[in-house]
Amino acid sequence: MTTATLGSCRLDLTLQPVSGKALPVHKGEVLRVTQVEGEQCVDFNCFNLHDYKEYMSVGHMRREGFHTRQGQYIWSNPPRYRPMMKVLHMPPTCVTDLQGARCSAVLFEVHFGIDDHPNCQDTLAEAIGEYGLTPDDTHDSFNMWMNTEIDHVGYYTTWNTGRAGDHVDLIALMDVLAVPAICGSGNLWATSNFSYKPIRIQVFAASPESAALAEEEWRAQCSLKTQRTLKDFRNQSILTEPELRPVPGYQPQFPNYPIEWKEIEVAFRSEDFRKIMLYRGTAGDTDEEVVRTLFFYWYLDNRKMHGLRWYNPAQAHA
Amino acid sequence: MSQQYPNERPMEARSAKVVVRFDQQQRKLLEFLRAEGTFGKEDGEIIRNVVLDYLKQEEKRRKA
Repeated sequence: MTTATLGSCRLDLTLQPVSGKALPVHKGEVLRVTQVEGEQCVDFNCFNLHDYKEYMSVGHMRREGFHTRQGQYIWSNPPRYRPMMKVLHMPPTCVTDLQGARCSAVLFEVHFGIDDHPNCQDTLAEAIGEYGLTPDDTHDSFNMWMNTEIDHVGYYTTWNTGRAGDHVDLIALMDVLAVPAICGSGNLWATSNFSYKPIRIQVFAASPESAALAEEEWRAQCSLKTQRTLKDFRNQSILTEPELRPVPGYQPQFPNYPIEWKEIEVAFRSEDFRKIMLYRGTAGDTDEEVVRTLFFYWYLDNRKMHGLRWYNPAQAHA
Repeated sequence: MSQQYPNERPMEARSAKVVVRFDQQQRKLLEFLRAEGTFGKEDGEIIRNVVLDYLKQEEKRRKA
């Protein structure tokens, strides 16, 4: 489900270049980001409003594709790994990026010799400063209207296709501090086609429908035992001193350590075994490796639950 | 993995018995399959039947 009737607009502001704003968006509310003139890249950070150590993990969003689309989620960092927001609406002219991290002052000094250029690191840091966060708390951005492509070397930026009036709707699935910012690289780079433009930001109050949708999504995506939060941590204190020192007597508790192997004898008829051995070289070099690999090929083909994409290498070779 | 290419290895007499090591997490998958009941009860039986089913599926895919 990607639609919901929105509540009334409780906040409406225009971000001028090159600013940003940290905005609480509560569960069921919708953040709308609108292109005023078009072709403007918007960097976006997101924190759990009640636990800033939970924040958007661009790396984990990237696991679902390089360009987040309508219907996809803003995920938080493991071990929490919870849905923070969902993209309710996104026009095809809004291409998103999860590769570019965020521009920083260093890049402009390195590439252009300018040491005071606007940049997303500093813009986002200034915006979240309103809530007591520091520049170190800024994280990689989910970049909206940032056209990037990928080749064998890495990512590169292409012409911004955003149009005036385009909007993206993000529904909050938990209470978040949402931080949109006008990308600082846009006047020297194709990210915003070499000029800055304003962006309109609105927050729509939760409607009964959007509140129900947020709850439904939360229940559907947040029911796993392994989505652990602060209360589940062995060490729940947050360091206030920057210096790192070993904790006396600390013993790590690695999950399932040490690994315990069991030898299992598997008997095959010789004609079956001959077929299995045809996989030597592509599914392992030893009998054991081949049998174990074919077992897992089958398991991933037939029993893997939702989520990770799986391509059977044997089929790719065929 | 060995450095030697498979085709360069001398032919050797083949045993139809293979010892496969599974760690404790891999064995959880055997438990799931045991609970399904389709592939047998013993670990070795489950692995054999799964591998044979894989071969069958591959044959079908090749013919399709």
